Amino acid sequence: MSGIVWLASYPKSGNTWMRALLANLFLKAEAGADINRLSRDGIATSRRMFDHLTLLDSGLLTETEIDLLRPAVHRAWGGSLAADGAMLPPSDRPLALRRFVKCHDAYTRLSDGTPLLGGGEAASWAILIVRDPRDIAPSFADHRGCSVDEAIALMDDPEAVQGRSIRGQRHQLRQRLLDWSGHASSWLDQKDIPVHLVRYEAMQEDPAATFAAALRFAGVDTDAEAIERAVRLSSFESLRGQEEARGFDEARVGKNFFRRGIAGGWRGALTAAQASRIERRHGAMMLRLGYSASA
Amino acid sequence: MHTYRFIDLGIASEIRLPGLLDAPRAAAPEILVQVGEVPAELPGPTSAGPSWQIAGDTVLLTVPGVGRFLLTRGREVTAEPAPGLTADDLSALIAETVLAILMQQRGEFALSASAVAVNGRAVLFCGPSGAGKSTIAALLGKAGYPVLADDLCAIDASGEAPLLRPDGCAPRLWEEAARALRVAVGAAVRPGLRKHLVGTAADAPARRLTVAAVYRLADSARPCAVQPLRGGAAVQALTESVLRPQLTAPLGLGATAFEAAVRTSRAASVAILSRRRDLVAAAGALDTLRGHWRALGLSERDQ
Repeated sequence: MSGIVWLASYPKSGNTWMRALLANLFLKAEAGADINRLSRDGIATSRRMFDHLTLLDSGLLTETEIDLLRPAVHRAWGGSLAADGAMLPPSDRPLALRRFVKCHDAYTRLSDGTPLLGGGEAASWAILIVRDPRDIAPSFADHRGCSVDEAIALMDDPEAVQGRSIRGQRHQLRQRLLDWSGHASSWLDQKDIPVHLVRYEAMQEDPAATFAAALRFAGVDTDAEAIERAVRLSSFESLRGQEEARGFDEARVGKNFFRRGIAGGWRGALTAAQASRIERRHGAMMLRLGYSASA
Repeated sequence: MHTYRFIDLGIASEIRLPGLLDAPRAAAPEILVQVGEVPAELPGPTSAGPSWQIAGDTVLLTVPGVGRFLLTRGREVTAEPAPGLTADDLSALIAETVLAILMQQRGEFALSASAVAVNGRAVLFCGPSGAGKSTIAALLGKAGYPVLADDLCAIDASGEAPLLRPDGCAPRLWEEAARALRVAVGAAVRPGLRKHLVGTAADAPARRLTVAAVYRLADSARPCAVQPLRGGAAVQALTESVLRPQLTAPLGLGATAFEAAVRTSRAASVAILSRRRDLVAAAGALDTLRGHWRALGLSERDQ
């Protein structure tokens, strides 16, 4: 059984916060885990991992050719983790056997029906983190360096991708996002991997309980004290403080990655027309995830 | 038949391999590349990955939608293009990937690294694909340090001082880096790909230089810095930088790679070079490197 837990999310939905919580839970660093060391290869689209496992230089392959190999890569990655864990003393296995891997890909299939992410052989759990799309839009715009309208258009685009290597090589392989609603339903409606839904807003309201529930889902038992500590070290202020002091590799040059970190901030950041455009386009999925319309 | 020289090996190839150094046909080429049928599976593989299998002295590499490659005893490559493709579509994969695996099969100690000459000695930059090896070599090339290698550094670690054996391959740069560095580019390494050959293979001096320093490239949001590695950390940085480390154990190269890494780490400086990836920071990287070279007793400038 694979030890991989997908940390699936649309961009700017709280994935890095979850990774900081996990790092602070497992690493036990006195001053809190370094935001620039939240396991660099812990992402499904790690070019380094793809190249390492395939012996290939993905820079010489097209996006389609890379996609054809990804299911086998994810299954090999999952298999190798399970095999590694078997050699550990039993007491260390529950944690060591879990690898929480960030994933912005939607849950898609190749033309022959094979799941891009390798299905249940590659990962045994999926934690889907969702956030009010009206809060994503301004954050996404800032992160991409585009206008809010452009960010909203991307969130509406069923063909949306990110991380393409066209003129230069990115650290990550290209990710197919689909549109915002399509991303969420691709994960919620697939039957290959059990999925646990985490709302960003719930993480803000009660981080300890929300985090603990996600860990329980993935079969990780831990005590309340350890969770409280991880929550404290992963607070928005703590992450933002680290970024201010030492920078964050995942931010765009000259921009803060940790920006506002609030729920409902869209009311000051979106025009009424922008908010209503999102609500019209994504109303059904917003309702399904418990986000009410502004009217 | 096309004929090339790769490191000190003669290659005879039915497939054109742009970027490799043209050479007169050797009487007995060490490496033969031909087009032919390649099986989909090897019988009784002893180890395997998502795109490869090993059985005895044979490695099978399968790239869906591109082709299959059979590598035997570090001497023979048989390539079969996928339906709809021609043998020329396989050139880039053979020149970069297949030859690298062949070097492993031959038991060579080789790093995934670029290299430049500094005062007659070799300085290497290691890292996986996408770490910025080619870009930093091109940057130093513009600053007057001759580029010796772009992607693969074979090292002869048998003597007192480790010697770089340049592969003679033309450097390759992505369009973005070439533009930023204002470097003129040649043909794309693969049709449709915006990664190009730069200059010609013959630009690289075909001499063996002592390896003075090996840097492992790391990204950082902070100012450029050199962090020297000693003892086990230096050896580990080198063994992690060998070509295709996934193959080290299956091909039984663990002991030789370790021994070569130990010898190299004793004779050369091994360090992590962490820097921001944007070119504004590149000038800072150059200053930091020159400072480190002065500290190592390498002079300012290669002549």
